[in-house]
Amino acid sequence: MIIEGLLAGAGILAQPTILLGVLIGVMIGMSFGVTPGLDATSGTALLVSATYALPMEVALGALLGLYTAATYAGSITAITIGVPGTPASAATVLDGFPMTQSGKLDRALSISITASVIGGLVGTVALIFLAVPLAEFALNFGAPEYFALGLLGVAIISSLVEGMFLSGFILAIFGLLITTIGIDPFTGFPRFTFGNMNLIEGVPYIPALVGLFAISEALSLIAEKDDRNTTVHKPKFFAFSLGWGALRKISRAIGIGSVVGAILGAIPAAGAAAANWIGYNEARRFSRTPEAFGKGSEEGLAAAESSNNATVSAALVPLLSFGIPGSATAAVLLGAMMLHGVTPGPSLFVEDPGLVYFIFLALGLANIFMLGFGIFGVGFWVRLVQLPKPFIVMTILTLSVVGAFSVRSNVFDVYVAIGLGIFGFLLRRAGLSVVPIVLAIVLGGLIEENFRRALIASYDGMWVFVNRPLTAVILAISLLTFLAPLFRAARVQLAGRRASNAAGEG
Amino acid sequence: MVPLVHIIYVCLFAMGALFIWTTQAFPRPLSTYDIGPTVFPMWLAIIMMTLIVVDSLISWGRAKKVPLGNVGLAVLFALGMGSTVWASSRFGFFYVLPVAQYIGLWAIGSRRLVVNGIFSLVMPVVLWAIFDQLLSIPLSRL
Repeated sequence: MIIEGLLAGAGILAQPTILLGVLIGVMIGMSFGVTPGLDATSGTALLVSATYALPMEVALGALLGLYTAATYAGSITAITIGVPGTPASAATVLDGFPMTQSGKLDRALSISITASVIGGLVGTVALIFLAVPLAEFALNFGAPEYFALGLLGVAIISSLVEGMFLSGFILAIFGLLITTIGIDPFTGFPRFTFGNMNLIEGVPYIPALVGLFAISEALSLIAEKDDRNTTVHKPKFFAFSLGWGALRKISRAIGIGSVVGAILGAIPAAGAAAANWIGYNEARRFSRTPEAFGKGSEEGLAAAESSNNATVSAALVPLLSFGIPGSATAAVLLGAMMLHGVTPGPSLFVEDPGLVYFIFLALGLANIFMLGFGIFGVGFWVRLVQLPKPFIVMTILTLSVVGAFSVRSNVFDVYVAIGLGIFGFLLRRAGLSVVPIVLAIVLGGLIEENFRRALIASYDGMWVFVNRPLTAVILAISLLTFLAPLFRAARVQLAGRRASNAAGEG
Repeated sequence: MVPLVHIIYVCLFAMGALFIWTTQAFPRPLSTYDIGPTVFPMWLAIIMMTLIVVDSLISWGRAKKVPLGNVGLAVLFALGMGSTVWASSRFGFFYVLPVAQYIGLWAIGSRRLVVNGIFSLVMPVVLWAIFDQLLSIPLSRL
């Protein structure tokens, strides 16, 4: 069945326009990942509207290419100027920049691209072998299970944000409240529209994402001082210098990073940033020279890069298998797919398996294109690092306005994007995250509809969520996830009290 | 320096109260097994307001203090964006955009007036070429 699916997917992929779409997506992703202030999530949100007019496969190919390349390209900035271009490249700085400072820039960039591509391909294989059986299992899910899964997705993401203890949950509930605006799906009654016809269909999804990710990021760039290191180490345009012997030496680190990234990527909310660090630490643990990590270790760099790119494909496992996005970028991809009339989930494997395998192959192809750009053109991308901040900001804001308008050709959508952009900016300044809001907006409709559908279809009332074992287990995990920050708060308060008692006794 | 998160929480609390008040006018459910259009948003608002109070109490002193100066500048810039969008809908996107970009670049700190001018003229052309011509997404209606 996998072979048949791959052949069907290859048949879709092997069209010039789609190949060109993936290629252009990779190029745009490299530009976004390297540019300060942009990352895979904001880049995908900005590009979604531009792909609206394109055929669905071309649009998907471009977005997947962007996602893959932007996750890697943050390492270019990390290696050349010691500042991670994206959060997923934070651990890359530890060994990548010291290598640059000791004159091994080309070697560092070569290791980075090689490890990223191998990690990405491992993640794609993991996606194929995990998504298919999980989707088959998910075909047995009903409304109660989908309600519970949606709640779990929101709970996990909300529990991991920094800041105040319950801020993630508060913002997630705010996102869920936003999704109740518009026509009630069961009664047809317009809720919270206050007479505004533009809100009949609810808060527009893509403009909301553009505002929360792209506009808020641009406003943050305006509010921050531009203290980028002006010294950029520039490689040659053809900078590949990694022989087979050197590759063999770092192969174990690449393997460890790839496996860590593939596992973490498949877990909702874990993400590339966490994988970057965990893959790095695990490789150090198993290395013969752990003392070299942090001082320009090739193994350290390889592990960090392979792990963050392995998460790219693996993060699509919950999205394709259950229809639940496991990361912010996956949430944007979900929006893009729905915009083109595709609903990810187990039924997609039955109704259109060729499209599913096309997604797998497009991810693999994006890694190959990325290898080409990483070897032959990295010198060009490095020069983007020095773009002056005002031009970056104006480009993001202009594309945001255009992107928000493009979906429905409605000016109201632009105002929504700006309003949520201001709100997202204020959240960032306050040290809070916009990700819970985005996940809640994506999953809110699924949560309410399945909750009510479960009640209507069963005559047990609320007991339907307890009588079904899988639903009960998932809800129990959600409850524990919700309680985790409260335990953390109690622990912090207790530690503070002990410290002040000890100080008083001293 | 202000604890911005508490200001945000106050606004969210007010929004929750507005939502609860609005749901009083919603109709009852159509069947005995459905909860209707009221219950879900009302309970979400109540839970949100409760969590805001709890978090404000248990996280007291942890709120990050933020200087209002830079925040105000960025918010003003965003409001300027809104004005630009309004002006675009009146006078045409491709007439307003170059002017708005030029002013915006200067406001953000770019003092290279010639480069600013070139950027302000080239960007609309690129957008027209890609969106209007290639993707058939007419921006002139913006």
